[in-house]
Order: sequence, then C-alpha cells, then structure tokens
Amino acid sequence: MTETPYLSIRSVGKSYRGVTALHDIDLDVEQGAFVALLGPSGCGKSTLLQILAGLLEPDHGEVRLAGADITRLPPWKRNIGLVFQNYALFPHLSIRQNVRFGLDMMGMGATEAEARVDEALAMVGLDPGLSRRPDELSGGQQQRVAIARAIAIRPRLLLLDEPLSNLDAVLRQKVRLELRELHNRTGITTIMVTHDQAEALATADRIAVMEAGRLLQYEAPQGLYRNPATAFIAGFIGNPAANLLPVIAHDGASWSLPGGALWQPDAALSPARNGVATGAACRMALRPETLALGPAAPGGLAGRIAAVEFTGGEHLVHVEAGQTRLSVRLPAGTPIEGPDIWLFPPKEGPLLFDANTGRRLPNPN
Amino acid sequence: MKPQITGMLVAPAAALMFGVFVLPFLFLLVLSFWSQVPGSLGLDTSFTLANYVRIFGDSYYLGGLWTTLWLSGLVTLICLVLALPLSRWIVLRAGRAKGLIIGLSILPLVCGALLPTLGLVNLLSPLGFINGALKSMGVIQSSLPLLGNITGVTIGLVQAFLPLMILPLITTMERLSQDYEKAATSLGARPVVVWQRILLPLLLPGIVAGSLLVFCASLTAFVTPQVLGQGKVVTFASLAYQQAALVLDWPFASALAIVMLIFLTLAGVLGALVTRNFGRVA
Repeated sequence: MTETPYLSIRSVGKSYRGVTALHDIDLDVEQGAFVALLGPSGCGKSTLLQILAGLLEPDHGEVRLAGADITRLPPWKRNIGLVFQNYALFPHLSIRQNVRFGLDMMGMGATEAEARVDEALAMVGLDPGLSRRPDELSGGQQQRVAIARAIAIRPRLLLLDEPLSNLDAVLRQKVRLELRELHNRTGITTIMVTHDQAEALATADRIAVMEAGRLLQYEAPQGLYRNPATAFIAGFIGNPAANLLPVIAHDGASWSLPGGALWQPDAALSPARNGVATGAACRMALRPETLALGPAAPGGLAGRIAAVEFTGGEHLVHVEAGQTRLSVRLPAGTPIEGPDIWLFPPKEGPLLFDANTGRRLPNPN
Repeated sequence: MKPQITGMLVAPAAALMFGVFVLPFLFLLVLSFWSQVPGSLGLDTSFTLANYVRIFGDSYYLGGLWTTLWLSGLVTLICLVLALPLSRWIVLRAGRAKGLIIGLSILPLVCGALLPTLGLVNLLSPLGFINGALKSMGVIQSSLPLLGNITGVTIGLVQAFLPLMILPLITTMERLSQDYEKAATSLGARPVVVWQRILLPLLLPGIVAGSLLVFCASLTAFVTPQVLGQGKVVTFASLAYQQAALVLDWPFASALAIVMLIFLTLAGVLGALVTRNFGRVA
C-alpha cells in the first residue's frame, strides 16, 4: 500500500484577505474513486475544488495528479472536467457545439469529434440529434449536457460542484443515481462537492467531511455513519442525523441532563465504564433508529411525545426529554403509547464526544 | 390595470413628446424639401430635392459627412477598446470601491460638454500641460499639434462619451455568470480563446448597445468638435449649425439634420441586425 495515490493533495492552504478558507488539507484519491467533499456552505469545499481545477492557486501546498505536480499548471492544460451547479452551458452555442467545445480546443478533427459528441450524449442518456439551444431544455437535461461536455474530453478527473442543487427533489434523486451509474461505466475519477449528506452517502465511495476549512474525517459512507470522528459529523450525517444529548457526568453511574435531571443508564453507558471523570461535560450521540420506546423501566430516559411524523415506511417520533428533544425512528405499525413515554438507548458502547472540542472520546471497551 | 387608466397615465408624456419632438421633427422634414428665397428670409414652399442634391453633390458637404462618419467610428472603436478592460475590472475587482468608480467614470456625462472640453483645451494646447511635460522630459522639441485637428476632437469625444460605453458593458458583464469562463477554461480554452469564443459573443448585446450610443452621440456632437477642432474640423453638426444660425438657410440646415438622422437610424438598424444574428444571452 505504499503505491503513490492517483490524486494527492498535500498541506494545501488558502486565505482570502486574511481569512483562512483552507487549513493544510491532506487528501488522497485513488484512481477510479468517487469522492464527495461534504460540508456546510463556507466550509472550504468549493475552494478546494477550484484549486483542483486550477481556477485558484493555493497559498501553499502541493497537488499531484498521476504522479505530476499540477499545483501551478494553468487550468486549460489540466484536462479536468468541471460541472457547475448552474450548468454554465454556453447560451450562444447549440447543445452539440457545447459538448464539442473541449474537443475543438484539442484540435480534434471533425469526424472524430462528432463521434465523440454522439458517444458523450448517449452516455448521459440524451438524444444525439439535439441541435437545440441550451435554454430550450429542462434543468435536468441541461445538467446532463453539462456532464456530457465535461466527459467528452475524457478528463483525468471529473469535478462536480453541487451538481444536483438546482434540481427539484424528485429529479435530484434520479440524477444522483445516474451520476453513480455513469461513474460505474466510465470509471473516471470523480470528486463531487455537496452540502447534502444524503447525496454524498448515496453516491460516493469515500466522503471527506469538511468544516471551517478543515478536513474532519475521510472515510467510506458506512464507516462515517458508524464511527463519526466529531459531534459535528454525528449531528450531520444520516436522515435524520443522530441526536446529540448534552450530558455531564454526575458520578460513576449517572449523568445529569440539561435542566438538572439525573439519568442512570445501563452500565455500558455509564460515565465510569466510558472513562468519563465526574463533572466532565460530553455529548452523547443517539441514532434515531437505535432508540426504543416503552413503559418505565431501569436505564430509560423519561420523556413526552411532542409530535409523530408518518413518512410511509416508518414513524418519526419527536420526544421531549427534559430540556432536549430527541427523534426516534420506528417501523410503521409500531404501537406508540403516549404522551408520557420512556426512551431506551442501545446497551452497547455509546458514541461520546467531548463537549468543548467536539472530538470523539475513546471507547475503553 | 385597466387599459383606460394605463392610457391616462401615458397621456401626459405622450402629449409632451408629440409637442416637442414629433411635431418639430415633421416640420423639419417638410422644411428640408422647401428652399430659401435668395437674398431674403422668405421661404419658397414648392417641393424640391435641391437641398439633398447639394449635400451629396458638393465635395465640401460630402467631405464633412465622411469626416463625421469615420470620426464617430474611430471614437466608438477607441471607447470600446478602453471600456472592455475597464468595465471588466470594475465588475470583477473593484469590490467596495465599485460604486465610487462607476460614479467617477460617468462624471463626464453629468458635467455637460463645455466644462470638460474647456479643461481639455488647457491640457492639449501648444503651451498646455501635455506638451509642457513632454518638452521638459526632452521627449519632443516642438509642441505636438493636439488642438484644432482630428486628434484633439477624437480625444475630446472619447473623454465625453466613454461612459456611454462603460455603462451598458458593466450591465451586461454583471449579468454574465463567471462560470462560463471557468467552464471554457477547464475545457482547454486559453484566455484569448475564451474572449473570442465565449466572452465577446456573450457580451455582444452590451457592446452593440454601447457602440450605438457612442456612435450616435459622436455623430451629432457639436460643442466638443467645435471647441477642440477650433473651427478647422468640419463635422456635420457644425455644418447644420452654420446653415441654421449663421447663413439662416433653414431648409438646407433641415436637410443636413435629416441626413444625420438617416445615418443614426441606419446605425440602429445595423446594431439590431448584429445582435439578432450573432448574439444570444441566457
């Protein structure tokens, strides 16, 4: 495993007018992978994408692609495909001319270029006979043309900048599946910037979670979901995301909850078993689908049902426990007796985070 | 809104335009087909094409027309070349100073023609600032002729009408997403090619609008060519002025004005054709 990665980003940093947009990012991408850069707006993910595309120059650090340093290579020499949120199809050119643009820039002959345009349009499921203008197409079709234009040049890297954000909810799910299938067919190394965790979980092989210009965690979707490195990630990944219960170790056996109520959980979840000193403040992540509801019993948390949402396959129960609110996912048809109810977390190692740093506390057992 | 109410709202402006623009224009048109009774202020109201024959048959007037046309074209071109990078800089880089810079660049428009032009006389005259500076630096021995010729008039017109080019260009550029350039660049287009194939076609409506404004303003400019040309540069507007105010041949002056209007209309039609055939904006 000492093989050099296809794309390697080494301590890349960037500031704008004294504000640091990226702090020393290190990231490796294997050839043929689909990586999502995930984070809220302003986290630096788009800045990183622009650096990869060559549209921004980093203040320091190095970007290597296929073994060569491309940090300062101008964008027009990179052969990297770029797809934008607003499609950015050239409005004065026809659809075929748009897709052909990059091929013309290479100086490719007309016959070959036309064949490549057909191929690229077919690849994204569009009729190659389209001679219309971009503004005559729907948003979903425009995005397909934009993808065809980017892959027609057979890029070394395909960069997608929030490619689905301008589409409506139904279309977004459809196109995101198509993106993944397209990637499976072409094998082009792809990096997608998104703020939508569901999009990242559904499409990417690995997800790089960013916050405030830093890379927090770089992991496969399932690993990210099971083992979030910070409270931020736990509270961000999954739909709905994990409940983050603020707790303070009261003694070895019980936690005090916001508002002062005491909670004596199952031994596996106690402060003592998790190495939390008395008085230390933590946040406990409780996944909505791992919580159970029932009548009063030892280890439970007393609560009161605030609302129940029916989503088709399941119920989403919103429970108020003391001063916090937790959501619980139950399969449709589960009887729910309320409004007073008890919550039961799973009896295994909990996900605990330091309340100040947000970092995950080591699991001692 | 009900049509009657809309009509009532439009009526005052329409009446005003009819009274102060349409009527005088129609009068001008009719007048241009009349003639002056020689040696008097009386008008001969029988229909004649003599005024137009005189304009297109006399090398003095034809020369004035030709000078005015190519001078206007030159001014338009210079304004375009100066305004493209300036507007782009204002749109992309000016940041917080943007409002101030736009304000400064349209200042010539709100100053009127006379004040800046008189300032330019000082700057351009044989003893003026530019010649003085160049002489003291030893670049030139004797003064450059910057006044009383096409050079001075061109400088003056560019100064006066640059804002007419900048404003439509800025408007067009601000509506243009920067993603077009980024997309083209990532597809392998060098900056020059991005300008040729993407930016210029997409900016065409703004370029045409700005060029039309500058061209028409230059074509009809009177004060600037008069002051900076010092009577030695004969433009169409100055010919019309001579005939109307000095010679008092109103029918001939009217014909000159109508010819000027025809060229303004032609420029407008040309601009519309160019935009329709080559430009498309999202």
